[in-house]
Amino acid sequence: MFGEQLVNGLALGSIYALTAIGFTMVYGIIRLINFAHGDIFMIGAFFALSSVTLFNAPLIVAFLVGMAGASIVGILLSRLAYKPLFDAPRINLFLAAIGAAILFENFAMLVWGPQTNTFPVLIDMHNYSILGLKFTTLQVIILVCTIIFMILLHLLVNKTKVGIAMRCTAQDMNTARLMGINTDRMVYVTFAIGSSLGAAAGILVGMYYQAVYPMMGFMTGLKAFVAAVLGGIGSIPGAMLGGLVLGISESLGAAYISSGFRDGIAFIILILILLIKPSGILGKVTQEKV
Amino acid sequence: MAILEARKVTKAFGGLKAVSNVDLIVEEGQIVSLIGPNGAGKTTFFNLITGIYDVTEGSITFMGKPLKGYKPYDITKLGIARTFQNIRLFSSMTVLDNVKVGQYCRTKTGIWGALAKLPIARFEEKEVEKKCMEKLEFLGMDKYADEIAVNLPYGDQRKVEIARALATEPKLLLLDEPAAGMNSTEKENMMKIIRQISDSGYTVFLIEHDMKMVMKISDKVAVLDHGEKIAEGLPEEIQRNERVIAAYLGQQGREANA
Amino acid sequence: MFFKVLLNLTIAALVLYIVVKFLSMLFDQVTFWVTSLEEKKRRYLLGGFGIFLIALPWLTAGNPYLLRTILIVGIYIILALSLNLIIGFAGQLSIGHAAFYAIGAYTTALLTVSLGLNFWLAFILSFVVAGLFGFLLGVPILRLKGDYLAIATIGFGEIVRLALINGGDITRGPAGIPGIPSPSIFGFVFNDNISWYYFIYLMVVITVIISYNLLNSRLGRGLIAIRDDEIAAEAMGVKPSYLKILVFTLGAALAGIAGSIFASYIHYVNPDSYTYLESVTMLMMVVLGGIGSIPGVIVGAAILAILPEMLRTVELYRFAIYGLLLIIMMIARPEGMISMTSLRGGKKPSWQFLKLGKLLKPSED
Ligand SMILES: Nc1ncnc2c1ncn2[C@@H]1O[C@H](COP(=O)(O)OP(=O)(O)OP(=O)(O)O)[C@@H](O)[C@H]1O
Ligand SMILES: [Mg+2]
Repeated sequence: MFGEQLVNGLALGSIYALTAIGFTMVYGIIRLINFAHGDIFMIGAFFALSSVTLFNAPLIVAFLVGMAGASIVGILLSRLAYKPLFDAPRINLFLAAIGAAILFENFAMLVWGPQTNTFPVLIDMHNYSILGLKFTTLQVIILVCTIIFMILLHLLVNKTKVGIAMRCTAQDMNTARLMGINTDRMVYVTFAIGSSLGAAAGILVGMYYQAVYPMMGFMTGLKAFVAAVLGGIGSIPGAMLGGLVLGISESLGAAYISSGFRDGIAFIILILILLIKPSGILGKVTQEKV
Repeated sequence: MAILEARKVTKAFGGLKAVSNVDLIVEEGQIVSLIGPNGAGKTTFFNLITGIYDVTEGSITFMGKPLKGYKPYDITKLGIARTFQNIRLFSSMTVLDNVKVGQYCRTKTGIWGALAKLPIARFEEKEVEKKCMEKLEFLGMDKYADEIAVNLPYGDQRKVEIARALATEPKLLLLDEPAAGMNSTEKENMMKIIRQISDSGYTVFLIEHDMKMVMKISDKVAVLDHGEKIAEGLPEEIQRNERVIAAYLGQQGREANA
Repeated sequence: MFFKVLLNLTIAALVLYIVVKFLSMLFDQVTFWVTSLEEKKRRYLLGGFGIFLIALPWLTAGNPYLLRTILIVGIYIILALSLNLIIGFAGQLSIGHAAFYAIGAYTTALLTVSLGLNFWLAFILSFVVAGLFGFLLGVPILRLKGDYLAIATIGFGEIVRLALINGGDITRGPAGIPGIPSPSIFGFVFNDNISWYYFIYLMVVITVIISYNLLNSRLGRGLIAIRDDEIAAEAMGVKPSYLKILVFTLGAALAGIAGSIFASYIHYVNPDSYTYLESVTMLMMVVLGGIGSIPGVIVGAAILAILPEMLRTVELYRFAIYGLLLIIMMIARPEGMISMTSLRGGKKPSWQFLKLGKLLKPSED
């Protein structure tokens, strides 16, 4: 039982981690909690689903379609809704993000209907035993995908010119602009990366639970946000760590405390962490200059 | 008698010691000035006194009471009020309402009194209005009472900040560069106001860059540089102090290089 | 389907942008006109409006559907004004207000149906219980800032809704609790819309008076100070945690009253009436009308409570349109239709927009 829950928690945690990265990257660059991120995760899953059901696309193509589609949505969102508000009070930007979230949820409801769609099983299911823990094929795929994406992201952020420019922009947008970095483009790149990782997570969730529905991004989005805060918002390794911690505590909590309580765990963790260590596990403490 | 006493006060932001090991005493009824080059830690010192930042090491006592653990609003209630270097007026309020906020900690109307507008609340409200208008008159700002405060010119906003601070009925008034950005007649006027404030019984602790003003007005001057107190004494002593001159020359040298 | 919806929403965005721009000008004109009236004339105007309010049910007597809509508008005005205390006065973004609405409604339902208590007692207890929840939630979470607070309140809203669904025999799950009695006073039962009208609008008037009295009091100034600049407010002796908790409690309690009224009016409660989208609707009312502006919030509540009735044909698009509207408001008119600043008078606004060919500026989507 414990082993099973641990593996389940790992899989879930990887998904939260992938989603949390989108939150953390966007927050790092424009200090916005992109509330619509969870819904981009959902849109990505729907794109992938449609490409499978309408065109019989193979899994890998479905992934690419979902991720590409979501990054386009992410870029459009930041360009059309957020860009005009970069200089406005932060709370206006956040309200626009809430608006975007509602828009996406209802857009999906109009296009794909409010019902739950089953994601077709595209792979053969086996059970594996690694280090005494039992994994299903899907769980292995989730873990492997997550690890691959993390490595790619790490390389991109730390080893490429774009990555350096992104980090500069996140640290100080004005200085970055003065140094000749096209900061607007960096914002779009950030949204594109965050959204495509979110979409990947959405597709994995769709496959894991075999369910894709318009409100699927709402809860997962909130939880990924909790994961990002837990790890220290703005920090990419923090998002990974926070995702795993949250996933594992959630599946253990559901197993040993109460399963009806499952969705409450994230919020209790959120409130606790914000009260005890608001900067998160790996975040930096800053004090507002007066 | 010492109204404010700082002992070995240190404030660190990560590795940077913005205030380091500072001892300082402000005597009741005096005008004491704190000077020093940009980034010396003067504003930080004010923030430590008013509880906006926590002291990393050392202690500050006000009228014999250690301020450790007190929140800014507690400290205001104890009798320390301040103005801000980068003016922080309430942007949606009129001049009069800004000043009335200062009276908050001296009034008592509770939730039921406010919601039902009980006679006692109305009475208190009238008193508040009267007191605040007096403060505005004192600063010559009563004619702007109904203007939105942040729409006034810079110099006038500073005066509103002073009126607001006075409305908290403090014993010690901290002024952070009250004459910054003013021309010489305005500065003269500000100096007069500070003198009047001092004459009406308030103790004044002042940060100011204008040396002429500091030397004329202060009973005592303390100098910070890189967070450390490098000198303290009568104005004329400070003017002659080698370390002070070096610190300021050093700054000019830096500015010339920049 | 995908492209059809996309096209519809793009058109909707353009239309909304134009409507928002147009309404902004219209409201600027009206606000300017009212604020520049002499004190005496303004009194007359207010008196006239009062008489209109008293006569309203008789004016609509022929149309029960209309009167019913007016009642719903009244309930939303109470809700929006109570949320405005939190968002508008204290500057604390709360997106879980439906939770307190639900707590009030369920308190009334449980006390009257399960315990057979008198409505008026249940009504008062709904106020108290919702306020108590507001207090208990406010103490830990009001230390959070801005968007963090917003997300914590969303979480609270979800937890309350889940608790109602999973509440077993007490809340009776998704089916809810039917059979809530109408209130009665000295044997007179509120069983027609006209008596409900006077009851609800009496509560509306009380809420409006409470809002104004609070705003113009010492506490109100403290709250606005916190909203404008929390650090400066603290340095001037205002204790933010106290005031924030106070106003959060009061806002929650008033929402509880609205819940009690609504439950008794429709004789029924179930979790579906108190969702996240309900919280969003209340938020939208405040934002549309003008955060912190009492007349604005009333107008915002009225518009958004009536709009769905008028948009029955595009009911499906309702929340998609709300989402768009929120974004467009932030871009085109973040201060709301009747903003706090415009209420203070100022320059005469112009009809600039109508003169210019700015209509073709399709940059908002
Ligand atoms: N909240 C903070 N976080 C980090 N560093 C800070 C903070 N507040 C102040 N500092 C640093 O502390 C040092 C002292 O700053 P302070 O504002 O006290 O200087 P000052 O003497 O008031 O200068 P000025 O004359 O320019 O007003 C500066 O290096 C400043 O960058
Ligand atoms: Mg300074």
